[in-house]
Amino acid sequence: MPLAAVQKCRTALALVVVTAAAVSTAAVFARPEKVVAAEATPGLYCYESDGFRYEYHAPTGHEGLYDLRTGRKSVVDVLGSHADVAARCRHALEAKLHVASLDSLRSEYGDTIRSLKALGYL
Amino acid sequence: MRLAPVVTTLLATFFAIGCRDDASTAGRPAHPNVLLLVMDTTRGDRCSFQGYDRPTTPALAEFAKDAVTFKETWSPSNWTAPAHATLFTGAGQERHGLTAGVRPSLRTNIATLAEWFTAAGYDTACFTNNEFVSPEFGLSRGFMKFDPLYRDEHRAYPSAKATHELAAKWAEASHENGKPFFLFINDIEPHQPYTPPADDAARFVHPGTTPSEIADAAAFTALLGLRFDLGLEEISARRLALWSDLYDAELFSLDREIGVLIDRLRKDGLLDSTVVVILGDHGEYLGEHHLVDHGQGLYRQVLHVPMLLRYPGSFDGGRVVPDVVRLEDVAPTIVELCGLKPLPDIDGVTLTRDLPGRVAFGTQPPHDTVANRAEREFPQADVTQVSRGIRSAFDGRFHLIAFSDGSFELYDVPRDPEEKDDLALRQPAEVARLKALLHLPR
Repeated sequence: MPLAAVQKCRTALALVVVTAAAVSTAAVFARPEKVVAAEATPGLYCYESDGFRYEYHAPTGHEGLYDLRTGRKSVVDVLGSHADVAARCRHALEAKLHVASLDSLRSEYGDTIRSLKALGYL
Repeated sequence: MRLAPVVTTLLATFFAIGCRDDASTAGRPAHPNVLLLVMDTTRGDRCSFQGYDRPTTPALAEFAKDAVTFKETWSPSNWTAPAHATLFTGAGQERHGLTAGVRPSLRTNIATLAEWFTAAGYDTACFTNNEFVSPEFGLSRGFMKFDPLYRDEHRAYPSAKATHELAAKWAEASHENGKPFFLFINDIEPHQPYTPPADDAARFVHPGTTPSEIADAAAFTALLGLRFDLGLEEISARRLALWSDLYDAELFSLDREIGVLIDRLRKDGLLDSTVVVILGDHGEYLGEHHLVDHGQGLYRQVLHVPMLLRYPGSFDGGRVVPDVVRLEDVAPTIVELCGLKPLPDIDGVTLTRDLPGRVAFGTQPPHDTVANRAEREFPQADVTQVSRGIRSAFDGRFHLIAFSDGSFELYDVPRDPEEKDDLALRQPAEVARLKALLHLPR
């Protein structure tokens, strides 16, 4: 086969390979914003009701209430102005988890709590 | 039909080899590795590669010759958890929600860098020496491997050497398995208490310092720091100067181990195919503004951090960038350099272009954890100084610090980097301009 023909064949093969590879690469790296399932944050207990999301964070004992009607990003803690909603959610969460008080969950995080105290966080 | 898998495999192999050939030719793999290394509690102005006059970071100074130094990198927070949340998401505190007084863990429905890279087929790992970079704060989300080194109470100190050994082995294994890696490391050395190796301490402490003074200086507690901050207890100028020296020695110690890690990646042939980002998460007070440690106040000492970025062809050549950049900008930059789709729901902007004109914002919510502790521990004391909410804006020249009680401070940072001369009353136009950026009433 003449050298030019060989070169054409090689170029064509290279194009096929590059196209196939580009397609497969695009499938891997340009996939839609599919995020792997977020593992649960240990010690974070949540309850949603009536358009609110109540969160209890056992390592710190922090509780927060977020108004989902203003969006799912929920970065404003409205517990102060909706204490009744928070209390309802807290009781519902305690019943669901079969605990008398959410604070009893903190005993599982003794090491973390000790560390946070040493750091001055608690 | 049975030929299909064989053809596919051949094509994939051919392509993979082709990729390597392309990469070696251009030095640019399509999907490079990532090393994101946080030097916890490191001040920008204490790194010699950023101009500090004591030789604290000789290894990084060498590395900087073939990287880009971002001289005015600012953190949005004065402590670890919110700063790392920003680094991992590209979002400011108001967006990611991990802010003292609002939420103690990362919002569950915001994407993290680790999730993004894991989804894209990378091997991802986190080696952390800081308790706040942990599952309980939502900051381990997405990492395929999470190594909580802080849990080992008997680990050797300094911990960077062993940390880097583990991390390098993991990166090498990922590479051998043919996968790109995303490697995050948190090194804790510059954090209180300051206990550098004796040889390193000897290089930095002033003549006449006794071994017992150095030993005593290690006896720092958060409560002691808080008493000093509140004016309830004084710390001698000699002790503060010694802390400053030991802090420098801790940086020197960490710098050496970072140099070892970089050399290893270079010898492995991995350095040029890796996006390397080395930076601080927040800074540290060493007595300035009558504060020590960190976690309160938004002065430059806690917000200005070092940052080096290296990726041949994009970030190299020893360039020094004087423009303001933010921790928020790191995530979108890494994602772009690695050819991934942009992260949604972020505040940061890639560092690959349009650098001038950025403004760095900082936040300390009112009645955060430090304030609560102060109120609990010292019920008779005036804790206003630590319980006020604070917001700040820095445009590269002026730094406005706005307190929730309505007071303001303004500093001309290039002229007054230690922020000693408050210009708020003398520069009302600048105050008004920066207040507008914070959406505060004029």
